[in-house]
Formats: sequence, structure tokens, C-alpha cells
Amino acid sequence: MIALRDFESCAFCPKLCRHVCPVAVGTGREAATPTAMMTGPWAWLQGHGDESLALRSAQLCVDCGACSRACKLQRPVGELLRNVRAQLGGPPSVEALAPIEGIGEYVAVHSDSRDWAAALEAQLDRPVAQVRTSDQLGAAVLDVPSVAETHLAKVRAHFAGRTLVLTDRGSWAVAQAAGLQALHLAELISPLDDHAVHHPCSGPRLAGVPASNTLACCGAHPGLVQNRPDLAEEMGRAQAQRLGTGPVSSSDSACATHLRACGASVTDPVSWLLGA
Amino acid sequence: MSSDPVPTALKNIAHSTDVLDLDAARRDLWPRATLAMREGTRPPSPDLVMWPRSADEIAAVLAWAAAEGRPVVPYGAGSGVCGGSSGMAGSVVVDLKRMDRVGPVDRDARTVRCEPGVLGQHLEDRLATEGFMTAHSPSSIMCSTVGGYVAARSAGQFSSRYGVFHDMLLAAQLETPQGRLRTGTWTAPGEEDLLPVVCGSEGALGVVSDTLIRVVALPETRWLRGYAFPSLEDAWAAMRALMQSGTWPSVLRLYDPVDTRIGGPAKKAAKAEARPRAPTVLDRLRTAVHRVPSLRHHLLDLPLSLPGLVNRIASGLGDEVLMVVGFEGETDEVNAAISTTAPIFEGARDLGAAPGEYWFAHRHEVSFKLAPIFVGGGWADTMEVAATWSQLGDLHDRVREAIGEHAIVMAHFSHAYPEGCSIYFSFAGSGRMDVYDAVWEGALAAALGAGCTVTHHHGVGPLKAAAAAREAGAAVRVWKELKHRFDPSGVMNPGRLFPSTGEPTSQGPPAPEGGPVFAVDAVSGLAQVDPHASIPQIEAALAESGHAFRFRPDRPLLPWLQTLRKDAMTAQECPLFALQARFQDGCAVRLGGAPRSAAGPDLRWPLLRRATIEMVEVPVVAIVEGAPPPAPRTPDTTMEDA
Repeated sequence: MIALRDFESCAFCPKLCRHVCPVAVGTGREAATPTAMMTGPWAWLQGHGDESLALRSAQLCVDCGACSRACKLQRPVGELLRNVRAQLGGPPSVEALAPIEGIGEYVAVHSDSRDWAAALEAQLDRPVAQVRTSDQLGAAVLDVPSVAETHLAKVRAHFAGRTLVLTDRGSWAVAQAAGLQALHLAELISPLDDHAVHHPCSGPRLAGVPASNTLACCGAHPGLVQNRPDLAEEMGRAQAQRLGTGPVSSSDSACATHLRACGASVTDPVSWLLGA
Repeated sequence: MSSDPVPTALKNIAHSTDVLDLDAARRDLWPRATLAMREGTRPPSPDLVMWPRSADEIAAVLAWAAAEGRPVVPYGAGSGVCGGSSGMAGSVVVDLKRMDRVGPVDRDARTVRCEPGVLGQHLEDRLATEGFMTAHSPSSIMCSTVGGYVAARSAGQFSSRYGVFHDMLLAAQLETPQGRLRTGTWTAPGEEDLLPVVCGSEGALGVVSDTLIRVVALPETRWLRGYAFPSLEDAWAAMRALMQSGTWPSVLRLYDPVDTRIGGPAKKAAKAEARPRAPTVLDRLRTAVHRVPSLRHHLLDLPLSLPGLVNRIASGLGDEVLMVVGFEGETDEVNAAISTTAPIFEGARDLGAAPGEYWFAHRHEVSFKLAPIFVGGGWADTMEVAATWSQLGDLHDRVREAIGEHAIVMAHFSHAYPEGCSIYFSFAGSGRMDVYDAVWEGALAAALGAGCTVTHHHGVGPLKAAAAAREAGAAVRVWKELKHRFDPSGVMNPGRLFPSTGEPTSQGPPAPEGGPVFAVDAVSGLAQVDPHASIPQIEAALAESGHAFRFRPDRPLLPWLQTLRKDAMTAQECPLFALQARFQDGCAVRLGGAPRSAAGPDLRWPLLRRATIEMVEVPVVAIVEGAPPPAPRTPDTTMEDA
């Protein structure tokens, strides 16, 4: 599935995309440049490196795509590193999709124990269906192309013609990959209009794209928060500083906790909705 | 992961012994290291990477490392191409990328303070929000840091107007194992300004912890043009006339015949603008080959295995050469420069704006061409040397002759000055390390043989250490004195710059005779003078050859140079070109054969205080009848004061 030649251009490149990589910029680590992330798997495939180092290199990538946009050779770095994670990281398990309950164009995707579809229905004054997921609609399969397409086809068929209302990063990624209409919950709640919406993995903010106050992501993915809390905190603080004192809406509990710890003022739209 | 070697007192400084971090710091971007990596050779590993956040944290790390005898390798973005920033065995790599703060622009003084770890592109992005720029634009701007620019005496693509980085740098602070050193305009009153030595010291004296940089307003107008000259000699004459006209073009690039045909922006611009046409058989063949990786990877095999033939064919395709010229600044100033310099281009074919605009739009993309050559089994590298205008042709011929049978070689001329110019050779060969080493050996010997500098802005590293030591000659002893003063235990980037065997055994050149003016190079606008003669005596002798000082000292030459403030000159002005100095033991050295050499620290300035100066080579201008002589310059009046 992964081939040496796919990694060669990056392994021999003079790190020409490092300035747009949120992980490289946010951490200051040489190992976190896309070039270094690609050199780990290259060395392993070449027979000079260690498999575990190749996997750990690939795990530093947040798959934001900034490097590919900066690359004049258009190397698909994120996709290639995703393939490395898939091949070396073992297959994930996926739960069956739960049935959709109720009617309505909007489907509230409940990814934790809280039920907020009825509250949203009252807020919008229109019917809202709901579905429950405990594995973020099977987001883990996105790292495994061999099984991802089958799963995404199921997701596509399951939610055909609906608009998903989401609160977690994994479900968001699945909806995007499946090509489904999707909204963040905060986007539907008009009193939260002045909030920056925490949109996990909107990495382009450091990719030369002008700073936006409608999307906020620090780039510190859960793996980084878990493995290198010091570096993740730096990235979060940098993002909190960029956002100033303005409020942020984030219903991804891990991200919200992380952003709060880094000094941002975070509102959970689910809590707001249930308390309204 | 090995055990943590960091003492308790330093544990609050971010650090790592993770193999991922150690591996990433093993090498910089020296193409030889990339070639070795492809062959499966791994350079030695450092023991530790540390990320200090302040000058005090750097100082604490250096004090600990010096006490423990641990080698220290300062590391920015690792973009050096001479091997100077590679984590060596057992070393502590001091990674500066978390020191990336940029201060507010001082709009009155036109300066900005900047930490060493900020990437060049991020600095320019930040300054642009306030309407300013440093105008330092190396092709590595996305992957290089301010600290690296200081350490390697970097130069950017607009140097003909804004100077090289040393010209923009007003002050730098260095943390050394022996304490803090403040230089440039931060030099304490009465202390020797060691900025010329800090700049180019490649981490072998200490770690850059703070900088003060000149900024300029973003240009109101930018004008770009391409011209085709019938020959290289015609184009050199035009380039020289432009740089001696006082109009300071922001872009001035001349491509030799091979580069004009293979890589010239005119060809690219013409292609980009060409109307669509039906694909030829050759186009179809090329497309088919590119679709098959196994074939694509071997596309370069044939030309790289026959470099001599390729060079001869490319050279035989014609003498016409491309020059890209640009002016920028306030609109009136740009229009005046275009008008003033128009006669210089009368012998050239005007290609319009396209070549210049194409170059400008793609000016940072050249490095993307490197990886495919390595993927294809070859290697590619660049060598940037420099010479006076009168020596430039000889340097170009010698280097091409030295390497032309082993590598495909082309060159462009950029980083031009009133006195001379840099030549940027690009060469590519087959994948063998012995060929790579032989090419470099020949190229450096040819540059030294031509009496030029072996490096203009890429630094020294292990690649050019021996050649730089030969270029510096007996002046290496000044470096050794300063190295011992600031790094007595020798932990700072050990083995870098001048190898211990580098000092020459000969007595050097004899004392010059026949002053007060020993020689005048009218082409390059330089005169070798006796610094012990009075200014009127020198002026009278210069006048006999129709010349006058470009910068007229207001006192005897040596005291003037010894007390010259860093900000007494603009970024374009360089009052000291070369000198000849004699030490007490009779050993002499002649230093500075080329403009803005980056062959390590600039040892001309400390030599002024440490040896008897027998000759100084200074910029001169031809006397224009009726024009008033230049006003005397004081050494301690800043340009702002003036």
C-alpha cells in the first residue's frame, strides 16, 4: 500500500513547506516538519530505519493539508502519512450505524450521553431528527483506506438527503469525507453568532490563509495532547492569544478542555442549548 | 529513549532525548549529507535537543555545557548547505525556534528587534502588516531563520539595493560560554565592536540571542524588465555601469549562456505566455515517460553521465544572455532610475516585463527542483563565489573549466556591488560521492586560484573549511584569539570554521611599495592606498589617476575605520574593501579580495586593531569635472543624525 518512491521527493526536499505546517511552527520541533515526518517512513521503507519511528513520525501529522498546498510538486503528504498510520497502526473497529430517530432535514448527532435534539428543535422551531454514536460515526476508519470507502458508502446511504448537526471532530471528518451536508451546532444557535466556532482541524490558519475569527483550531490533535502535553499547550496558548479575549464555541469536549486550559473563553453549545 | 542528562536546574527548559528529535538534528541541508542519506549512511547523533525561550536560558545551557565539556551545536531551521549546523556526536543541539518573537517596528529609527528563531517568511509577513520589510529575501526564506542569517552572513535576492544581511544588521547579542557579548550599535562605549566577527561565526563563538535589523517601507512601485545582451562581456559592462550609477536596482540578475538556455526566466515566461499548440511527438513522448515512475526516475541518467558533452552543446547554442533588472521604491524615484539608466541598455534587446515578472513570481521556487534530481539518482549543488569586476570573467572561466567535465554547470550573476559581483554556479552530476567531492575540490581550488572568495553567502561549514582557512591566511590567528576569549573550552560547534591546520607557514606578501596610492583598479572602482599617509596626500595621488574617495574620511584613514559606527553607513555602503596587515612576527596577510565575502567572520575589522596595516583598499569614483568633491564623513554620525 505504501511505496518508497512516494516518500522520496519529501525526504530529499529542503523543508520548503515547514513555514505553513501548524505542528512544525507550533512546536518548533525539527522532527515535526513535514519533511522529517516523511523521512521516517522513507528510511524504514529504504531498510535504514525503524518501523516504530516511521509510525511515530506519521502520527505527528494533523492532516490539515497546508504542506500540500504550499508544495510546488503537489505531494500528498497528509494522505501518505495517513496510509503509514493505517498500515503500521493496526485496523480500527467500527460500530454499526444506529437508526435515525424522528423526522426532519436536520439530524442531531449525539456523540456523548447528552440528548439535545429536542432543545434544538425548540430553538429552531422545526423538526430535528437524532442519531446516537459512541465512536464518532466510525471516524477511526478514515486512517484505513482499504475499509474507509466501504464504511463511507454506508454513511452516505444512511444519511442521504439529510444535514448532519455535529459537535465532535470525528463525526465532522466522516461527514466531510462522505460528502454529506454538515453544520456545527454552534452555527445554528443565533445567540452564539459572535463566538468563534471551534472547528477542529481547521489547520489552514497557519497555512498562509488570513486569520479567521469564525474558525478556530490550534492544531494540537488528541495524540499530541496525550503524548506531548507541553507542546500541545503551547499551540493552544498561541491560538488563544490569536483569538484575543473573544468567546469560542466548542462542543468537542477534549478540545474545549484543552482550549480552556490554554486561556481561551470557551462555551459548549450543547450546555448552552440545554440551559437555555 | 535514553535517560535524561539534563541537570535539575535546567529541567524547566524544554528538551528532548527522543530519537525522533535527535535524528532530525543530525544534519542540515548540505547536499553531500542528502547524498549520504540516500546511500544509507547516518551521520552521528546528538545526545540532546534543547529549546531555550530566552537569552538567559541559552546562557544557562552554555554554562552547563562548558562545565561538562559537552559540544554545543546551535540550530535554527537547519537550512545550511555547507554542513555547519549538523548535530554532532554527543552534542547538545540548542534549537532556537521557540525564540521567535518579533518586536514592534521603531518607525522613527526604521528598525525592528527580532529573536533568532523566527523564520524569514514569518518575519516578512509580520513586518508587512505594519507596511515594512527587511527586504532580505533568500531563496530559503521559508526554511531559514534570522539567527542563521547572522551565523552564515546570508544574502538575499534584493541585495543590490538593500545589502546583504550583515548590511541590514545593526546589532546582535551573542551568548557565549564566557558571558554575553553585545555588538554593533549595542556595543558598550569604548569597547571594540565585534559584530563583523559575530556575523559569520557559524555558532563557533556562541549563540545569537537577539538582533536589531534595519527595515524599509514596502515599495510603492516595483518595475521589472528583461534584456537580452549579445554577450556575457557586454552584459557585465552594463551590470557594472548600473551598480556604479548610484541608482541601486533592487533586482539585478544575469544568466550565463547555459543558464539562459536551460533555466532562464525568459524561456519560462515565453512558455507561459505561448499560445496553446498541438502536442508534438516529443511532447507526447515526454508525457508518456513522466507517467511511468520507473522511466521518469531515469530521465536524468544520460545527461548526468555525459556532463562535458551537455556543457559543450549548451555553450554552443549561442552567446546571447538574459539579464533581469528591477527598480523599486517611491514612484518618482523609480521613474528617475529608469530614465537615468536607459542608455545602459541601448545595446540590448528589450524583452519586456515578462521575464522579470516571471522571475519575481517564482523567485523562491528554485529549491523545489532539487529533490527530483536526487530522486532521479543524481545530485545537485550550488557554489556562490565573488570577485571584483576586473576578475569576474577569469573566475567564471576557471570554475567552469575545473568542473565542466564532471558536472553540468551553469551560472548566474547576482548580488552585484559597485566593486564586483557574486557568481552563483549551479551544477548537477551523477550520484557518486567521489564525483561530488572531486567537483567541489576542483571548484574551490579554481576560485582560490583566481584570487577570489570561496563563498559569498552560504557560509563555510565543513565543506569549505579548508578553503576558507587558505583564504584567511594568517588572519586565522585573530579568529583563534577571539575563539579562546569567548569559548576557551572549545565546546561551541567544535571543528567548524578554520581547522587547526589552516594557518599558513609562509610569511605572506611583501610590503607594498610606492604609496600613497599603490594601485588603482579603475574598472572595479578600487584603490590600494597607504593608510598612514594623510587624507590630502592620498587625495592628491588619487587625483592624478582621475579618482577620488567614494567615502571621504574626515580624519586619517585608520582612526576613521577603527571608530566607524555600524549605522554611519547605509546598507549599500562598504567603506573597507581589502587590506594587508603584518603581525609582530613579520607574517603578513592580504584579506578581502571580493565584495561581501561570507568566508566566515569578517576578520578585516579586528585586524585593524591587532596588526600593522600596510595597505587598505578603498572604493573610489572617477572625478567628474565641475562636480563638487564628496563631503567628509565622520565615523560616528549615524545616517539618521546626518
